[in-house]
Amino acid sequence: MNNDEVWRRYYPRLLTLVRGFRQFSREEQEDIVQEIMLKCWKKHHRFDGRHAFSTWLYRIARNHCIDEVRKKERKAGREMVFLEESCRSSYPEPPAAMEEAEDIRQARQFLDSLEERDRSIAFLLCHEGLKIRDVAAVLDMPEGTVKYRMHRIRETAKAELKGGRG
Amino acid sequence: MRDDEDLNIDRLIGQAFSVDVKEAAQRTPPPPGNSVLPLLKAAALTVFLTSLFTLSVSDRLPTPAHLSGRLQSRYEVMGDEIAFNMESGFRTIISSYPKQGATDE
Repeated sequence: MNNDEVWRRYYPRLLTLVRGFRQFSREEQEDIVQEIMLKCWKKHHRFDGRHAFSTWLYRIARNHCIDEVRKKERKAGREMVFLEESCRSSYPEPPAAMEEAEDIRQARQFLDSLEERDRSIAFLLCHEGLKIRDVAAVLDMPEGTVKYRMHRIRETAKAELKGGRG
Repeated sequence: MRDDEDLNIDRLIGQAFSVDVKEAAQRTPPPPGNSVLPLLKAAALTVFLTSLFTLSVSDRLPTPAHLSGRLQSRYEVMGDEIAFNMESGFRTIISSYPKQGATDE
């Protein structure tokens, strides 16, 4: 995969992952994704192949986001807090013209309601198809924690989404 | 072992993220190399062609004998004005061109 292909494949995915960090505006998220891509190009020689490329990339991405959150919080003179409701309003609703199945619309709302870490777990497992051990490596947490959190996400989703009952 | 309900939830979550990724893809700018590389390539090509042209011209710099013959044939097919410009141009070249067999003295 050349650089252009990496860019086209992973830019949207990284943007989706970074979207979980609600501390940032949409413009800031896009800036962050571009910084992540540049960082990965600069660091590509450090990729040792122990994990899949996507695992390596997402780990860099998440660590970069956490650094940026800390910077932002320091700048604002506040402690790092993963905001819930207050920042959610900065996310535009999906275009009305986009015809989505009702269950997918509800699922998106549900995912937007998750805290960043759980949203990342759901994204990496259910969309990216990463294995538990790779997700644990990206998020720097024990595999058992990933399993437990994903179990909890499923249980909450079952309760909230009618699509999960079928 | 995950049951069907778990699989359905996983599938639904995956589909929901797919919509996010598709929306993000629409906002994906072109790779940065796309805007810089063609310019660099064009610049490199220009330098290369310029040097090639210079080499080519200097290799084939005509001798005065060649020029007089070529000028004469050109007069026959070109308009007076163009031919005049050509002639004055060539005369400049001829006057600055070292005569064959001439010494430094």
